[in-house]
Amino acid sequence: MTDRDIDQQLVERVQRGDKGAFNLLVSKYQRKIIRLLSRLIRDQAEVEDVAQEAFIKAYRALPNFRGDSAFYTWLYRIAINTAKNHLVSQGRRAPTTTEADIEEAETFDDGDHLRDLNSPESMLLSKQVGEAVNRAIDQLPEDLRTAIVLREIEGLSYEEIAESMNCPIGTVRSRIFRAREAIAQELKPVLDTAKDKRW
Amino acid sequence: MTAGHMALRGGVDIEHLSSLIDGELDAHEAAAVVDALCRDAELQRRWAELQLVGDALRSTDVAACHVDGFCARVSKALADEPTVLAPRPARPALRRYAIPGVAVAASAAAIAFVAVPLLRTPAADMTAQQQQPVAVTATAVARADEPSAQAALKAAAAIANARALDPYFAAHRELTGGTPLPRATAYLRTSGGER
Repeated sequence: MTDRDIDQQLVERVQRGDKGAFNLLVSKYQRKIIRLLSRLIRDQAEVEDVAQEAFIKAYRALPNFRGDSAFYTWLYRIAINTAKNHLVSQGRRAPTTTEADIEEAETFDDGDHLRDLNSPESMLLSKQVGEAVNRAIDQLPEDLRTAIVLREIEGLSYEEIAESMNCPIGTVRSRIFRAREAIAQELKPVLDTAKDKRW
Repeated sequence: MTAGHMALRGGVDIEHLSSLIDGELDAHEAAAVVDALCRDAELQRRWAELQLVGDALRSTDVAACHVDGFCARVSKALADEPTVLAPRPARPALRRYAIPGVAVAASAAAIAFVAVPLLRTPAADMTAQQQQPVAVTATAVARADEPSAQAALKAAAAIANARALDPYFAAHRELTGGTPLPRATAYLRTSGGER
């Protein structure tokens, strides 16, 4: 089952009245949406407000979502439109992004069209996250490191990793999970994601 | 037992969640994990954690956009929203059985409408013809005191006289074979003769 299928399952649950399922979509896409909006809106507090508004608008519009496009593509467009409306309401000029720009921006590679995010704070945090991830990966036992790198960097399936590492798929599943746990532990102090807090 | 093997709701453990995120579960397993995920707070926390790790591994810039407490904020705002419900699609069973059922009933009605008159036997026709004048005559007698009684009696007499033609009609049917589909038979004979 693909990532899109999982999103669709969650969407269908929301459409049947399960609000909690929408929270799972928020926790999955919050960073991508905030990063996107940060490229359109300078003020961080405004970014968070607009991101929240975009998610609520998406929730309200969800009965009309039929899954013709991926959920994220749909959410992304809502976020762009919400940001544009926000900028217009503030008397500021909304970026003249075209549909093509939106598609390109979705990959987060079109720095020419959207504002550069390289503020000192964001650069520092990004560097700290990178260091935490590298530190966690370096500290992993060899078999866990190989499994997570083959999965996340090389994009191999569990079956391919199992073949490559000459071990059962169940072992691959376990190694990848344990590697992720270790990385999450390393990220907690950097991103202040303590266990007792709700993200 | 490791944390990953700690069975949570419905026998789903956190390792399953990791596999779900990787798209490594079949539809049945994934549905079970999503179901457990939507009901279990601990699984939800771990889901958020694993999503953050995924973002961090793919792009440190995206992970750096993490805003602590953002989800809680949206969740609180969501609580004030009326619950959305998508209109349910037509029930598959209804669509599957009702439409063909109506089509079959319509076909049966059409066949009955076209074929029943053709299938009526000559004997049945004869019986009907014999009974009709009797009924009309009885009606006419009952209404003899009315102003139109004379006309009705004349009509009844004419129909009664027509009974005299019955032997002629019977003989005619014998000659034509008296088939249920006399016109079709004639056509078949004609077209068969051309070959």
